[in-house]
Amino acid sequence: MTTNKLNLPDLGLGLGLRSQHFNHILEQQPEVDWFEVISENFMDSFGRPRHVLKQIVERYPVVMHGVSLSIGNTDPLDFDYLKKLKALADEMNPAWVSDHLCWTGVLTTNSHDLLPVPLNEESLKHVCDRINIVQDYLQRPLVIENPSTYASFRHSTIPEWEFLSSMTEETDCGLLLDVNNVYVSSFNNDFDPVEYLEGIPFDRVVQMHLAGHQNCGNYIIDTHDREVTKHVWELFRLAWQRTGGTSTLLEWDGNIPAFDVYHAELLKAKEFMSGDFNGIKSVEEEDQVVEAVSNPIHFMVSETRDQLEV
Amino acid sequence: MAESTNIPLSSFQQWMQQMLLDPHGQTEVDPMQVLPGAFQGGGLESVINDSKRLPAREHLAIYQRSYIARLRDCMAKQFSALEYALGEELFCGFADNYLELYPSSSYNLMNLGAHFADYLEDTRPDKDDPLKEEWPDFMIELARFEYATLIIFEEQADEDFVLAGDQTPEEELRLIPVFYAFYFQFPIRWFYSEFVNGNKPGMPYAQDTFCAVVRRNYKLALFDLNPGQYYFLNYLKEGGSVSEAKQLLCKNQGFDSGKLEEVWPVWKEKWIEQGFFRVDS
Ligand SMILES: [Fe+2]
Repeated sequence: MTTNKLNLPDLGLGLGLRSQHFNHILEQQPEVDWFEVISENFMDSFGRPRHVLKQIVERYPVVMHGVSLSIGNTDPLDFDYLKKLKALADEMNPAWVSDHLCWTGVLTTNSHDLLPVPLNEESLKHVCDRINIVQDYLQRPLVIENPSTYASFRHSTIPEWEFLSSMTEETDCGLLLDVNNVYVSSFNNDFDPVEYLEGIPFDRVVQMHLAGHQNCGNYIIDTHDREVTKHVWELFRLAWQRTGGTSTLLEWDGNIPAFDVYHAELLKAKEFMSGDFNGIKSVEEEDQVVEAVSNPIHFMVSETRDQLEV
Repeated sequence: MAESTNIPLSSFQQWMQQMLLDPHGQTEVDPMQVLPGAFQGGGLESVINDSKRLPAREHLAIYQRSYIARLRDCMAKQFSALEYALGEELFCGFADNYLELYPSSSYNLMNLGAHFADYLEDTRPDKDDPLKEEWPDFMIELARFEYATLIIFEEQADEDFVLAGDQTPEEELRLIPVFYAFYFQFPIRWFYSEFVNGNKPGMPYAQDTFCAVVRRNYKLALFDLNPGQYYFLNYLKEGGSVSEAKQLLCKNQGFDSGKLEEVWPVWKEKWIEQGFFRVDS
């Protein structure tokens, strides 16, 4: 079934593929609708991660989600990166390829953060031009996610939802609507998350993200390290109704729990989809004092040691 | 003034990046310099909005703290044995300084630690002293080895080979595609294995050691070697056959050929069992 203009399928409820769960997935073949993989963790990998991924794409639909395209960057597009991204996409045949509305660093430096783009006419044109080039190169539509932001700029003149709307119109790209990011950004930058959703062109939304965050009192950090909060579920419910059903994925990148716990948190989405959310237990916001890192690194490394015979 | 002035996207990005890389303004670079004239002499408040709950400075500080914390965390993951050996505080000091000197320029975080061992070598405290202390040598060697294991784990190689067995004719024995023999000035293999096994090894004394790192079925395994075995296996790795490697070992390393014929059957049996060999096809 498809309800978006890009004719991309509704894959159902998916999970992020994490190396901690590789063995469980290969051995148990759990009933998960689909997996999202971080492209950069596999593009240059020719060892076990890619070997595992090859087995997973045989059994499950997969979507590739990137963090280094840097579509808002003023350095030239990195065609070495795009070449490897395309090679991985050609090999894995994902349902689509996504990345974020952000920049990651200039003058060849990479901050490995998803940095916020000032939203104005100049940046809109810049981003659209680059999306068009990338779509031409990859020979497939690009899906762009709204990032969590922690600052807004005096020279921003376009609200984010309007920016995304114009961007999709100009380029025919898809949207990955992260409702947790909408909530985090709205809290940090004083806008109304419901007004944000009202402005989203839902016929362009091909995927949604859910995730947990950390409330630090006077700001919120997008930590992806815990359960989804009540506010975010509420936004999800609203957005779900507007999309008429779309592929939905739960991100979890820090304190990654056992597979079944991760899956159970995802399946809570069903209650919000059916509107029967009164009976479900969701967590309230809780103020935390521990300093957290924004935009978790999504980087797999520990596997080398986990897979070591010493 | 700044209120109505736009900032070109490229200037803005250079400004913000400089604010992340040098949050305390320790370098000569004045980030405001890249902004249009109307911003000169102004503060970051002329670029970033205050919000209801936070002043502009605090908004930027979230990005500044996260930038270094994220990369530090990644360094600690890539060099976890070294972090243990140095202690968290000292490791963090080295990592921060390294990241200042070598900011990441790759889209792949895997490459973050690529120059770390070289950096440790270049900045060792006794670099110009004729008499060197031992501990920096150990740390540098450990850093190099830890990073090497990450690269070997991800290396592109054929994994569809047939492992040799007892019956494989000697002339058909070849090393498996992912095989490395290392020489160390310290018992690095021992230290690393102890650490990975959750033990708390102390810093070992200097001692020449040798080890093999093999990858089979996408998993790594480590094995101790003696000096003769190290040279022999490296000759094999260069592409030679068993008989060629034997000749080179005797010719170049002065290994006694009679003794070699005695130990070879023992080596062969053990290495076939440990999966060092595939069948030449
Ligand atoms: Fe997301």
